[in-house]
Amino acid sequence: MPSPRLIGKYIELVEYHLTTNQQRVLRTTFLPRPIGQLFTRRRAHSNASFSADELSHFNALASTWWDTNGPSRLLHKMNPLRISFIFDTIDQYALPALSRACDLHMLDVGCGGGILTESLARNPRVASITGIDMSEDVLAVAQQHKKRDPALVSGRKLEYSLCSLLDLQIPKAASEGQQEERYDAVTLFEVLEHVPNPSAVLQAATERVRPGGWIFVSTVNRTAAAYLTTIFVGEKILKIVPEGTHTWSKYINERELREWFVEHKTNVPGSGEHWDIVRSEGCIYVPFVGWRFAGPRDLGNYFLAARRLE
Amino acid sequence: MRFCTRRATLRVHGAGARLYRKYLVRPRFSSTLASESVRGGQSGTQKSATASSTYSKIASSLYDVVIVGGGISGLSLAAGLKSSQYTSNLKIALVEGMPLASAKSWSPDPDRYSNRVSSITPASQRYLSQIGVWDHVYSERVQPYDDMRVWDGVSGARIHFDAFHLGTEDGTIAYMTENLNLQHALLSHLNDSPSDPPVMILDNTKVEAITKGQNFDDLDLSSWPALKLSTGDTIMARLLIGADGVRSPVRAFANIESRGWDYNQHGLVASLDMEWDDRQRIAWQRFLPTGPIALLPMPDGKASLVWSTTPKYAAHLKSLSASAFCTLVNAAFRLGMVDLEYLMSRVDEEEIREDFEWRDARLPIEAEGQQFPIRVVEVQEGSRASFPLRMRHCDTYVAPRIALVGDAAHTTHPLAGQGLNLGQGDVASLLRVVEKACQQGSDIGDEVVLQEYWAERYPVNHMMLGVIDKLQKLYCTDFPPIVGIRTVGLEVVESLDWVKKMIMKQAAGA
Repeated sequence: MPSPRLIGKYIELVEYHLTTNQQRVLRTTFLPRPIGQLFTRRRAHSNASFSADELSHFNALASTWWDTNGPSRLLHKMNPLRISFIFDTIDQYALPALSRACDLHMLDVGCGGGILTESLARNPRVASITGIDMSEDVLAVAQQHKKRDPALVSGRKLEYSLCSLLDLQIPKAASEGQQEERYDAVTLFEVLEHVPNPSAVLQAATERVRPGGWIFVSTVNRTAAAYLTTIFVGEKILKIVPEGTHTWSKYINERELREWFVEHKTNVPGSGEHWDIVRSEGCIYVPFVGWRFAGPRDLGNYFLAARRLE
Repeated sequence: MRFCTRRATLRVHGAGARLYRKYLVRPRFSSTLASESVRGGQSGTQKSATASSTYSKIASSLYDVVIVGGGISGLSLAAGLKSSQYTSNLKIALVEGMPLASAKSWSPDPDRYSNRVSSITPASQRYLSQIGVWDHVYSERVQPYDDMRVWDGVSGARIHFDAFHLGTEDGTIAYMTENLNLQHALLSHLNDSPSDPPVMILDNTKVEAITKGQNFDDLDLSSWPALKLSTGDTIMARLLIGADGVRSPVRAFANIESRGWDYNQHGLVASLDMEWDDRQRIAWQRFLPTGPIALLPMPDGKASLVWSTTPKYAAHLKSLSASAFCTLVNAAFRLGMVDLEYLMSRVDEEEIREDFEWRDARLPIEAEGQQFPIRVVEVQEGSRASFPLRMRHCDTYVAPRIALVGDAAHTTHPLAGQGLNLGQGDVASLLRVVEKACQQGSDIGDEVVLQEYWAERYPVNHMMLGVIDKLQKLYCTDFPPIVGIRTVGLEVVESLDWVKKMIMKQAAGA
């Protein structure tokens, strides 16, 4: 068993090498030092794509995704909260000179069966929405469900794609001087705690948002309270969340996410990008009532909205 | 624009932001089924998929909302959906088995009032004015009342609700109006207010069958209810509303159980003329052991009778001549139980009249108009009718793509005048839920969305139905211990103004 000093040295070496290659940022940027040492070796060679056990877990849930009384009921109940978060934030904090409040072109990362994606496609303020996911079975369910609504079939606003965000092409500019086609908003709801490299995914998201645009994230804090509510009570006792959905070590603290945006701002050379965290809210699930914005933002589930300034 | 610290957030507030928000062009929720109104092809996001060929063939038979039932609840919901800015672009159809032309072109006779009247609570009246329907009501045929006198027929214990002295907000307890007046107002509003697309009112059309839709290759409508109409057409609904009364076919299709019991009583209604118009605007109700008798004020010295009584008595009362009937109505408000029972058993009309006059002469003259209503002298011809009374409540008001409102969801005893008002409360709540769904882009037929409506209304309705049922059971007996308990209870409540205020607030549908 190497000594703690050697392990610390190892982490510094790896981090040094990785800062020069932005694509493979280690998990230790999100974990505090002691825990980071525990997970360093395992995570050092993880690739950027979705891990196999997460994929198989979600594939197994595919058939019950749209059963509103089934295992995904909590996801369905969260939908109105997500939509009101997106549009209330845009209304309150939009920069008139830079951004649009209507006619939005959006990207939903980790769209799953399309619960949020379909609602956004029907929303009158959204001009187009692309949903991407890495789970083939779940995306097939989303495509099937899309056919059940004539408005989605005839409206042509909704598209699904089986790929990871890192592989999603940014369309090239049509001509010189014209801006590349980027999205007005990218949503990453309940995604970052399921990918092995949240930093890379966030990086890819920032590259796909145009100035004045938004990134909306929701994930869970890595606290004892979150373990108690989401895993112990939610999965094991009440069983309202399918077992194995969440892994506590992959949760991300709200402060860590904020710090990522600050570091990202200062680390991107010459791009002039600035990101502002405009809104961050804690949310809780009240049984028999639903999801509500309540509670401290650094305790359990939380939503975060970041806006690109230029 | 540069912002110095990472903690700085730009809040768009102040006059500039208010202007920005004001001039934001907010797209309304365009009809979910109109592909032309959706702006899709911006540069780089032009989708190559063509519109489904099945969709273009069947688009004309697809509706966002189909309301089955053209009664007050159904029409009120259609009017509400059309009035709200978020839902006015929905494609709505209303199917009603009876012809609605007579209601639409109703021009009332000042001397005659329909026997189907309802008491509209201030909450219902507020909702109707909000959607712009109350302006179309014939106000000369609406009678607000602000005083209610209720007493126990057996013990004589009284309770007096006086809106003026209790200092309630509105000053009015409720508004009495004919159902036809409301129906006419609703139809006028739907006709007059321009909306695109307009509500398709399919009257004189029965629903022959309700089944599940078809699953085409490129369009799966197997979750959509399909209605086969008597005209031969089939229409499909994203959201099917059952506003079709007590024996609701929509409820049967949704496999929703309705539980309750029948009261062994019939509700007898009639339109009456009083001896003179004392302009007091009082609603009278006396609890007899056979059932409560209520006299509700209408304009111009007229009144409406709702007498819940045994089926035998109801049939007997309908068979009497007009004058004998009026005598018995007066007797029911004035005489003791023994005397009343005696009179009700008599068949010779002259005998009834003489006996009543003799007993009435012994009552103090100042009591008329204070302790019991002014004399009834005439009953409008053909206005006497009765219907069986029952209590029903559904387990749930919603199913995937189905919602029930009004009598389809719940039925109650008329003693508290709440039946129609609970329906209006349902309609207002469902309207809010559909509005929110349209604003957000959720599917209005989604069960999770609709369950919010059920969760909001079920406890309120259940409580009201429960209270009314217990009141009926409490007062439809002359068993002395129960009479004693209820008399004491009533007299206690009568002396406590704050309790009466609370009761009135609940009954007003706050």
